[in-house]
Amino acid sequence: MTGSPGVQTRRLRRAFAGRDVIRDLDFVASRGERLALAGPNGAGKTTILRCILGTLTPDDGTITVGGHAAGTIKARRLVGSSLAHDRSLYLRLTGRQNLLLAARLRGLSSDDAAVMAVSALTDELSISEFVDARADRLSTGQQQRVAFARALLAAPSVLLLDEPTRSLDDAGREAFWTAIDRRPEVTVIMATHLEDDLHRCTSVLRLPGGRLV
Amino acid sequence: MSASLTLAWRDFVTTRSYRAALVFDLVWGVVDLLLYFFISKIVNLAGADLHGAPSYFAFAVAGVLGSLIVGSATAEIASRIREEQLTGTLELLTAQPIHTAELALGTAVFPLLYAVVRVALYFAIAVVALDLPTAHTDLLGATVLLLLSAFAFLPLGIAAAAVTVVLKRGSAIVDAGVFAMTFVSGALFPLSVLPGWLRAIGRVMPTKPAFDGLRHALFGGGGWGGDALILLTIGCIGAPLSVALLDAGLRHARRTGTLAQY
Repeated sequence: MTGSPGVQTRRLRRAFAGRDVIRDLDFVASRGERLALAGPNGAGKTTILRCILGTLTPDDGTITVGGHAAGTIKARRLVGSSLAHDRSLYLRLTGRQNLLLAARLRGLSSDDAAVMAVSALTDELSISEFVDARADRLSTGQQQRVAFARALLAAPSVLLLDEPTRSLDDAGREAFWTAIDRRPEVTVIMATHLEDDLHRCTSVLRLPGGRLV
Repeated sequence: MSASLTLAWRDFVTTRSYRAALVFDLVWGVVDLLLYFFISKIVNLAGADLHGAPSYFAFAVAGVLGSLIVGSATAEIASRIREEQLTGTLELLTAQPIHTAELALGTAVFPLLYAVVRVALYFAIAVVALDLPTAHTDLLGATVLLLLSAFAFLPLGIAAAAVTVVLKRGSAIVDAGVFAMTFVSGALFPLSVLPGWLRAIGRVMPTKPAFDGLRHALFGGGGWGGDALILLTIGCIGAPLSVALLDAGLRHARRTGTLAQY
């Protein structure tokens, strides 16, 4: 399943307030690979994810997603993401409305296609019982599950996930990994601290203080 | 275009969820009309140029309605983008496969449609309940003028949004700027009653053709073509420039890592 590059970085460098958070980072995450980014707080895990997503510009180096420069429209089409999950839902919209919004923005322009894609995902991830509640009335774990469903919309070939299982209970964690297992062709890059997540990934990139080991 | 309509749908659902604020918003507009209705009973503007309006109340109604459109196209857009930045959803939006122009247009569509609905409602109330004369009203002309005003001032709102993304505290400046611009260009007081130096500034404000044209359409039965042409020209020049500016603002935020920052 692995082989062609899903995500590739070359000599990636990003500094904040004059301090290099990431320096000379080279890695390739192939198609179907599950790459865990591990390391202490401030090691640069989220920074790497945001650079790949294109919402943060590296100071130096290049990133490609499916052969396209990160942040371009073509690259963005390939990426599903769940970063800062507790902050990126529209809180006055229901979970389902958040999903429909994302589905339409990601190109499922006909109403039927968006509704069907959202229904299929809510069933698959077992979130139907709370997805029609307004997002500000959901628990942190429920918000995280909705945010994960949103990342899976429109069949992305790359998934960028920031501590995707942090607030989940056992059932939620199992549903998460089952959904990942059902998508063996997708390149998954996740920032995580949890041993269980690290074991389920195919490779681990440890980032102690911003240096690749 | 479909991304823009999707964002408008999001704004509609969000606005609808704040029911009390929605009602207050509508009631406040009526209070505004009543305020100028009673002021018109005591002011004497003999000799002032009212641009075809038959009374001060009629003059002020056109100013209130025009200001609604101008405010929605400018300050409202900047404040919405700032809200997205604060809640973290701006980063989410900029990670989607949509162009900056779609983002800008999508942020503007609902506030403008909502403003158009309020304008229609307030105009109907002014006619039915407050005896606003309509003998010479050119409704089609007024509609064209309002739409062209939105088109002309939207670029200013998008440019203000770009500045807000970079400075993060630009909303108050934008609000003050829009208020000053509408005030000196004769939204609520005829230019002829303002001091000479303020009159000179008012004459070159881009909001002036919006208010003058609307008054001609509402009360003069025509003569708004020149103003419409000016508004169209402003919009055509401003639209691509403002989208480029917002694009630059977002690029700056990506560089500095401030797409989601308090």
